[in-house]
Amino acid sequence: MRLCLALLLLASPQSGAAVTGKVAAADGAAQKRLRAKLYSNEALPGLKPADPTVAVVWLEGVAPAKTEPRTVAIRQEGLEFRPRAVAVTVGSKVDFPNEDDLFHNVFSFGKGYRIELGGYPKGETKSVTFEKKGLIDVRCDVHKHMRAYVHVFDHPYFAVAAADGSYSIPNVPPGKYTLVAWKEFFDPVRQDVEVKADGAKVDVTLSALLDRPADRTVGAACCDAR
Amino acid sequence: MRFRAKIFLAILVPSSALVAASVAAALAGITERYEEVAQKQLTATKDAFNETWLQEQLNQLTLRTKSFEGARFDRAISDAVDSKDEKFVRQQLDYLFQLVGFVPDFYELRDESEKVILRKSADAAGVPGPAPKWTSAVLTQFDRVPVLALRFDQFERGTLVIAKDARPTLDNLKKSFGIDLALVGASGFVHTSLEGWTPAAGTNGTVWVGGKRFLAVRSEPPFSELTPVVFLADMSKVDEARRSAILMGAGGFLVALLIASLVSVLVSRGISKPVEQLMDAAHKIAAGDYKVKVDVGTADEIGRLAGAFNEMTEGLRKRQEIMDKTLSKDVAEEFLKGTDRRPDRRIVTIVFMDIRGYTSGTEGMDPGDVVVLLNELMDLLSGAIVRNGGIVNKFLGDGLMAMFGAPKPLDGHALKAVRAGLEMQKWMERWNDRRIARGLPSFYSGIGINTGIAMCGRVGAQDRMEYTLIGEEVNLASRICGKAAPKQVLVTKQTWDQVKEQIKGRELEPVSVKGLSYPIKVYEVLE
Repeated sequence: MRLCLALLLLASPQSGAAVTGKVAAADGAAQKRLRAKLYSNEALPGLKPADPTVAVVWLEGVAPAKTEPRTVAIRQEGLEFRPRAVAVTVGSKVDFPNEDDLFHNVFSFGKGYRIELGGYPKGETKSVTFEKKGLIDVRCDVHKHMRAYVHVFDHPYFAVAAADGSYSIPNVPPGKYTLVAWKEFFDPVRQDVEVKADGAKVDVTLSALLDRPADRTVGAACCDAR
Repeated sequence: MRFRAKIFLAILVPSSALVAASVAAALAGITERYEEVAQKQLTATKDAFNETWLQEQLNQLTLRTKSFEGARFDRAISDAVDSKDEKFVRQQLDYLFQLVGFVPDFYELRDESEKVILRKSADAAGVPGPAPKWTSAVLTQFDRVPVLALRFDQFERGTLVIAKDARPTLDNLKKSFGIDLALVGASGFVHTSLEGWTPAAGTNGTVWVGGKRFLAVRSEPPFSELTPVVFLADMSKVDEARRSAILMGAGGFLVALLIASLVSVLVSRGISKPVEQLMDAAHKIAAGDYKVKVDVGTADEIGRLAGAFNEMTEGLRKRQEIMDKTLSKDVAEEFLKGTDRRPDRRIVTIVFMDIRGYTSGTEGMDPGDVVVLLNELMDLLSGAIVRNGGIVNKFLGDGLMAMFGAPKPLDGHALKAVRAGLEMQKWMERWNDRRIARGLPSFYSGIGINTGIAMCGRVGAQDRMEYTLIGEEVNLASRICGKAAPKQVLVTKQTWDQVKEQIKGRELEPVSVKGLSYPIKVYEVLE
């Protein structure tokens, strides 16, 4: 997580205002039920449940901009993907190192793409380069509670919120956009935002259940598994 | 009823009844055993189906679909629920089925609200039934196809039901056990291995399919939505066997009947024939033929009876011989005519013979030798009487009395009597000549003959009777005999009058006899 933030902070070549705010999310009954279902048969030794999934915030209606590909890692550790969500630009590489004593089975598929990393021993890493924008959910076939979300953008105007929900999208050119706030198990929330010279401040509250997660399959022929 | 018929029935009826009873008993035993075996096999198959076959099938299904619990299915099902692109979802599922190495024959995908999203079925227009309630593998139906099905409801976004067509394994079951099976679901008939047999839910016991009898047993196996499962054993072979057993039994019965008839005919003939022989022999004996001998040729009771019969005949024959000696044939016949015949008055000729010099001649002889001597003599003399048609009525110590004309009338009885008398003297003379030649004492006899009316009949007590002549004329004959000198034959006038034409003789001096006050005329006959 810290690595991601550092990367994002570093990626600020342009000047502009920052969009800041806080994403609030309260687990309701629906989320609790989903979470319970996901972890229902996971009385597994060595399981260290992941941090509450961080929120991802981005702007829509922004002109595509050239971005620098990065490399981030989603580790398999304590029977979880850590972090559970990352946000990268197109062309970026995501490493999936295995730090557990057992084999996981990393996969994802959707319309037009299929990722099959399979199982591999501790200490080894397999990587995927994401070539197209979209939201890819990565899973382990052995442990169904293991989920990781890779948000791929063709612009730099996105941010991964901190543990307390606060976020900051720097260097946003002034203008009118739509801000999208995403979090696992919630419906994404869209909100209009006008960015002025001194930036903008948008607080978002997520509460509804994710019942049409169409957005997570926006990606197509996204990636190149290596 | 004739003896032979009785024996015939005595053999035929029990033996036939015995055969019929044993055939019936064997038949009942065989068919009962058949039924029992079929019922046992059926029950055993039912138990094997429930406890082994079905459990094994369900376990296999559970094991082979273990990998369905992986997250890939979860992910695919989420996609399917979210996506409207049916073709895409089918591709995804097919890919996954191939990936785990188990491609179900049918499947059904439902979302969390039990709405059917996708299904693969034998019946494209099949109307999905209510969602199965179980979570373990079961025997159920999928659009009226019997299947082994498993439901996965642990997925995040829906429920997957996979089903394996059970028909091939059910066919194997039929091949292995030779037993038919039908599956009946709650909504009705689902499957049958026997064409034309669509049992209702309550089917049990005897069932008729296509004119053949079957034994049905219903079962409600655990882990099955199809209840009851009805098993059917083809009993037509048993019925066939029963029919042939009945035929064989009937055939055996007929053969036994035939053999029994034959045996009883032979046996009854074997028993009745000697009985008939004995009967014939008895008839012959009744008619006076004592020479008859019965030979039945067996050593059984009948054979022994025949032996006893022969002994009896022999005994009778000996007695007859004695009778012949002591009782002349005519007398015997007279006796045989009845017991209460009144005496006849009849003209007869009576002959008395008395041996003279008997007492002196036998002096110093052994009494036994005297009897032998007398017998020899009497043989000789009675032979002369018989040859002339007379009957020796009795022997009187050293004499005898003979009668001519009784009990049967005899023509010329006087003449015959006189000739007999002359012959007796002649024989006696020859006999004496032989004795004299051997230096032995000789004996001579006097003979008296009279003809007259006498009472002829049986005299004596009830239990011992003799046929004899009674009357003055008899006494006179005896007296005349007493007057006769040795070698002399004296006759009275009544006799002489009858024979004087044929016989030479001479009149002697009239003699006085005891019991008569006047002398009577006597004649000596010479030849």
